[in-house]
This record gives sequence, C-alpha cells and structure tokens, in this order.
Amino acid sequence: MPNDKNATSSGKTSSSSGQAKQAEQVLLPDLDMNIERLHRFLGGGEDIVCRTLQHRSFDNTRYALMYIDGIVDGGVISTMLLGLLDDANQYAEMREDTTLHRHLTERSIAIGKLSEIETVEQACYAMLEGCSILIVEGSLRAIAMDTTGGKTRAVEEPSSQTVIRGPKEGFTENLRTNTSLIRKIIKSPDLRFEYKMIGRQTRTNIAVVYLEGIAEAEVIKEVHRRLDAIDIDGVLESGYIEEFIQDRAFTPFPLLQNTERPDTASAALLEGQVVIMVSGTPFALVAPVTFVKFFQSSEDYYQRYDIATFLRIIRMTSFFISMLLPSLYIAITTFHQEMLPTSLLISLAAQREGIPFPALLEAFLMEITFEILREAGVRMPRIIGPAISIVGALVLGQAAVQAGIISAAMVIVVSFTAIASFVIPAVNMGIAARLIRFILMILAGTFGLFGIMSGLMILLAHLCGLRSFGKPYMMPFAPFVASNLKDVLVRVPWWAMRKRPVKIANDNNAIREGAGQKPSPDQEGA
Amino acid sequence: MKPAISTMQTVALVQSTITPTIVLAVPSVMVSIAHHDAWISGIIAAVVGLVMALGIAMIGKANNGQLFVAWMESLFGKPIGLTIGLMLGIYYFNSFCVILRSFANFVSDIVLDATPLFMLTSIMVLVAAFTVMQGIEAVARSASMVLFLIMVVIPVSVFILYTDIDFKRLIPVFDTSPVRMAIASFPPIGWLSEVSILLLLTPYMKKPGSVLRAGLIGSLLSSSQLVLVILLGLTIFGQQLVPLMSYAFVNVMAIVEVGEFLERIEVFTVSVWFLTMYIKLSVFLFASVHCLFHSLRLHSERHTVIGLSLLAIATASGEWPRNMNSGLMATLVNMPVLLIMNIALPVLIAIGLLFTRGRRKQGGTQRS
Repeated sequence: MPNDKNATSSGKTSSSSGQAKQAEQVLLPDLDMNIERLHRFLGGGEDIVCRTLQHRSFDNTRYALMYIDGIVDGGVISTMLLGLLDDANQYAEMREDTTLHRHLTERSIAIGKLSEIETVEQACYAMLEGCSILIVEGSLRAIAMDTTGGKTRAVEEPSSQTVIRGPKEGFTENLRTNTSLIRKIIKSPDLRFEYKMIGRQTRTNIAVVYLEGIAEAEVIKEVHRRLDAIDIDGVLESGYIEEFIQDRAFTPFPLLQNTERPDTASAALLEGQVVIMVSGTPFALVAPVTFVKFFQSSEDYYQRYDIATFLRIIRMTSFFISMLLPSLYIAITTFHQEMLPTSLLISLAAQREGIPFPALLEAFLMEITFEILREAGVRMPRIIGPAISIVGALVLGQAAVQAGIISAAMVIVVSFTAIASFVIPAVNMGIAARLIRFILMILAGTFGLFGIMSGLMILLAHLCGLRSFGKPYMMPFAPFVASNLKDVLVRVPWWAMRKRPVKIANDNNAIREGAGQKPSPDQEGA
Repeated sequence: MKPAISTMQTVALVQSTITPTIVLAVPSVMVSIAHHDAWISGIIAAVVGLVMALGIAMIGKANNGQLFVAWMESLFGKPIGLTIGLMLGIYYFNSFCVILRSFANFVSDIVLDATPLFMLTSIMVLVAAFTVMQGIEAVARSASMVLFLIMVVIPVSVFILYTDIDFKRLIPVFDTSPVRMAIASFPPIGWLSEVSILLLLTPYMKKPGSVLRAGLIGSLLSSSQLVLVILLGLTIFGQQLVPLMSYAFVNVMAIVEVGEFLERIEVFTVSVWFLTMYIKLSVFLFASVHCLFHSLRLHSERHTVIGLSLLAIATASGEWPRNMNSGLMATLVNMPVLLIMNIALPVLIAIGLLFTRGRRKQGGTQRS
C-alpha cells in the first residue's frame, strides 16, 4: 500500500490542517453519516461504490465496503466480497469482548495488507490510492485494505532504450510493478525503498531506491532534502522532479540520468547511485551522474568489452559530429578555404555557385527544416510516418538541391549530423547537442574556427563547473580519477573492474568482485 | 565550500599561464639573438624558470591556507598587505589587457583580418569572464582538460613533421657566444616568472604541501614546449628563416602535408592554442579580480568580474591605436614589469617572511 507508515507527505500538504479541523473529520459511530461524509469529501460520482452488509453473528450490525471503481482490482474485490457475505450469513457464538471490527480484521478479510484509519480524510486518500474501506457501525475506526489494481500497461520492451542483447523488460507506469522489477534483479536485504508523496493535488508516490552501504549516505540525505523541498500541485512525470532537484537550473546538459530499463537502474544501484522512481511514468531518475554516463548503454556490459569500447568511441565521436559538423562546414567554407584540398575546394565551389544564401543561412534553413520534420515525425499518426520521411528526404531535399536553393554538400552535412545525433544513447544528451549546434553555427558563421573554439571553451568551462548531487560532472577527466577510467571510453573486461566507481559509490565498500579472476587455461589439465 | 584544486590541476594552471604567450613570439626573438643555439638559451631559461618556481613554492609553503591578500595583511599589517594586493591586482589587470590585445592581434593577423578588433576583444573577454564566473575549480579543471589535449597534439605534431626535420641545421652546437645565449634567454625568463601565480593559487590547493612539485612540473612543461617549438623551427626552417616569422609555431604546422588530404592544418593547431590562451586569460582575470576584490573589500565577486571585463574591453581596444604600440607594450614595457612583479615582489615578500619569522614563532608559542 503506497500510503503506508514510512510514506511521508510533503509536509506542506496535509499537515496544514489544525487540530480542530481534524476533530471534525474523525469517524463517527453512525455508519450512514460516515458514508455520507466520505461521499461528500470525494465529491460524489458514480465510480464511488458502497456496499452495505449485515452480520448475523453480531446482531445484524451494519458495515459498509467502499471503494472507487476502476482503480481497484475487480477480482480481489469480488473474492473479498464473497468471503464477507459468506461470513456475514453464518451464525456463530461470539465472545463478549470481540467486536465486529476485530472479527473482520482477524478472521474474515482475505487481504494481506490492512491498516487502521481514524479520519474521513485518511479514508478518502486511501480510497484514492486504490484501497477499499470497511466501516463498521459503532466503530470509530475503519479498515483500509490494499486492493490497488485497475488497468495498467503490462511490462513491455522499453521503447526508448532498446538493446540487441540483454533483458527486454521495461518499467511501466505502475510504481509497484517497477519496484518489483528491481527487487527481482537485486535480491539483497540491503536494497532500500523509501517512499514519499509529492504533489498537493496528484499526491504522486515517489520511491527513493538505493543499496545501503554502497550508496553514499551524504548523497541519499541530499536526495531526500531536495525532494522534501518540492512544493507543487502535481507531479505527472519524473521530468517535474528532475527540474526541481538538479544542481543547476540553467544548463543544456542533463544532470540526472533517466532510464526505463530495470537492468540499467539496477546497475546504477550497484555502482552506488540512487534511483528515484515516480508513479505514473516508466522513466526512473538516476543520481549522481557524470557526463560520460550518457554515452554508455546497458548493452556495453552484455557484449564483449572490445566491441563495447569501439561502440563507445563511435558514440562519443557522433556526439561531437552532431554538435560540430555543420559549424565546421560553415567555418571552413566561409573563412578557412585554404584547409581544403584543391580538388574538394573546386567541387564545393562548383556546388555552391548559384546558391543565393551564405553557408550560415543555408545551414540554418536545412537544420530548421530537419527539426520540423523530426518533430512532425514524432507527432504524426504512425501510419503517416513513412510519408513524412519520403516528403522530407526526397521531395524537400532533392527538390531544394535541384532548385539551387541548397547545395548537395549541405544536404550531406545535415543528414550526417542528424544520423549522428541518433547514435547518442541518452535522448536528453542528444537534445543538448542539438541546442548547442545552433549556437556554434552562429559563432562559426561570425568568427570562423575562432568562434567555434570560443564556444567550445565556454562549454568546457561550463561542463567543468557542473555538479550532479555534489559530484563533479566531468569526472573522471576533471578531476582526474585514474581508476574510473576503466569504464569510460574504454570498457575493460569484467574481471578487471574490481572496484565500483570511486567518489560515486561509498569508498568504504568499493570492491565489487574477487581478485585474480582473469581467465587462464588450466595448467595442470593442459 | 572552499574550492579545492588538485596538484595536477595546479600544474595545468601554471602551464597554461606561461605557455600560450611563451610559444607565440618568443622563439623568433630568441633565434634572432642566439641563432641555431637558441634552443640552448631555452634550456638556460628553463633552469632559471625552475629556480624561480622553487623560490615561489618556498614562499607559498609558508602560507597556512589563508587567501593571499589576507595572508599578506596578517604578515605585514593591513596597509602593506592592502598595497601588495592592489599592486598585484593592477598588475594582473594590465597584463590581462596586454595579453588580450596580443591575442586579438594574433587572431586578426592569422584568420580574421576583416573583423573589428573591438569584436574580437569583446568575445575573448566574454569567454574569460564566463570561465572565471564558474569559479577557480572550473578554471583548473578546464586547464587540466586542455593539458590532456596538448599532450595528444604535441606527439602527433612531431610525428607528422618528422620527415621535414633536419638535425644538421643545429650544428655546430655552442657556436654562438655565451653572452648572446644568455641574452636570448631573457625574454622567456620574463614569461616563466609568471609561475608566481602560485602565490594566489596555493590556498585553493587540496594539498598545499605539493606546491613545489606543481610549480616545478608546470614550469618545466612550459619551457619544454618552448624548446620544442624552437627546435622544430630551427630543424625545419633553419636559423635564417625563423627570425622573419612572427609566429614560428604556426608556420611550422603550416608546412604539414600528409598524402593529398591533410594539409594546412595550422588552423587546427592554432585552435588548440586558442584554448590554452583562453585559460591564460581566465587565470589573469581571476587573479586581478581576486586581488582587487579582497584588497578593496568588495561585496560581489560577480560584479567585480563584470566591471573589470568591461574596462578590459575598452582598454585593450582603445589604449593602443596601432598594433605596433601594443607590441611595444608587450615586449619592452611589459618585460620589466613582469620581472618586478613576479621576481622582485616575491623576493621582498620572502625577506619580509624571514624578518617576521621570529615574531610568528613567538605568536605561535604564545597561542600554544
């Protein structure tokens, strides 16, 4: 049940009501009045179901089962109701000190997770969470039963982080499903789930997940501090949380990683990071994170280390291509033509002859066109997607070149840039490269390579000044941490990665595997 | 949180403070004086540079973690401490303007001859100010990243130039008189004296005890690059051509031609040099802001950076109407200032430390 004892509300939400108000909300012995107050609190509605029963063994004492249809598990409700009816219609001598409330709790209700409720507000919020409420005539308390259910999406393959080799399970919108996916991977008693509730209206459940003893205590404390400081009416996705808890507001670079893969989240936990899961979204947040993490895919660890290393270098190169290629093209064709071999220069000059725009404007036209096509591709109904591709690639591209508006070389540059941007595994890092590309294009068109280098210097200084939950973003390059280089551009074999990332995980628990596991032929058997 | 920079980052900062200007115009001047033995002058300058780094590090070690101006005030009293802080602040600001103008002139000469100087100085100051606003930690980290880049670029450059190198152009060795070789070593000694920046950086170090190592390695890296550029210039072009070149290291890279696809790569070499120059500008702007901010007891470091940056744009763009004037400032005028502020002033501080040693010991005993 999400609303259990270790769940803490945001503080500024429910605790604001005073003692007097609480006294007004306590449950009364009158069952009808309690039902009416619950209805009133929830604003009525046909989805609020109330079923009243009478128990033969307790002098036909009335009691009511209430829940909100659609967010409860129908099967569980039916089974429970069957059990309650069966119990209500049987007569048995009861001990004098036994109440109906106690009898139901201890003998009748076939639900694992129960909790006691004392106020109308608590009862309503429990119902909104998907619980069913049993209110007994004459009792000042109600029983909340965890019957959470309703239609949820099944566990499917992640749509944004697909792999060829590796688990195919992805997170869903259901927090409990997501926590269970992590539990299935890490079967450790050190795995901790700490729940919070954020959002005055949405009351969204948040789970802070970490491995005790492996994650740094300071980082966990800081995660809680930042989450507790959030005061907002609603949280609909982890992006809401991300913007509140990142170290710096004004940066194009992501300071938290997001993943919809349970194996990626589990790997982060094993490396001492903290995972923040938000109900209602399949994207979990991972913190703290460094720049290089955005170029790593979970598949890197499932494939051989040599190909993983090669792919990481390709990804990093693609990032720079995606960020720099159009600006380099503009700078070289506008300011530094001497850098090009003569034959290429003549070829480019011939292509550009008759083009009415300077290289900067030409590049901007193409890039903006591509961005529009990309956005259209995302928003369009899937069935029209191929049509958009044909219109974009063939009609616009080819027609623009034939009409003499754009040079063929520029089409190649923009297409290659676009393809390179899709190589970056983290979408949010790809977005950063897209934004920076436009600024660098302006600098290249104005100051040539000097402008690009000036822009890169600003980027470098900015990146070196960034932190993610206090950890330097450019680690292990700046500050230089030699031992962490084993899993950055180069991914060394598993038997050589004995330590968890230094300064990310708890340094007192850095060793993650035994020494001397390098495979070697059995000398005796040979 | 007090910023903390590692020893390696301090090395990178020292290296970036000295190298960009020392490899720019100095090799041509040295070759014009010491001819094909200019590389020996480079080695002499390197030795002197190491001695200066040693001296500065010894002074820096006496600091118990206080910021420079506060340390000076605690040592010699508020008026003297404040005067030293102001003097250094003005020195670093002036040097920042001179370097800025030299950098703008260089960019104008090499690539952007039609761009107004004002635009070039503005963008340079903007980048330096932005970098300084990220904090000394970010500057130090950027410097270390740029140092990695240099460590990659240098071996690659030497490798692709290898076929053009002719060591016969260096013989006969010791052909130039020792006096000329000593004179030729003066210009680089002036720039190498900028290792005195360590006095400001030591309080920010994670391990202030390793300031000596940082100073020595930083100075050695800079002088090594100077000697390398001289050697490349001499072995590729010979002693007659190098003095005619304004920027020998650019010309060296300009002759590269690998196959038929890689040629005129000096723009890329210069691009990497741009980064080192930006670090240098940032270090000098940081130093001037640091000294003036703490000496004048200002309240907002950010506004100090903005104010000094605007003043620097105006100074660098308008102070010297012609490039020749700024060149004169960078060579003849700036050299004595460099020696006074980076050598004479630290010597005076060292003497002051010796004089106040007894008083400090007494104070320490009383406190204990």
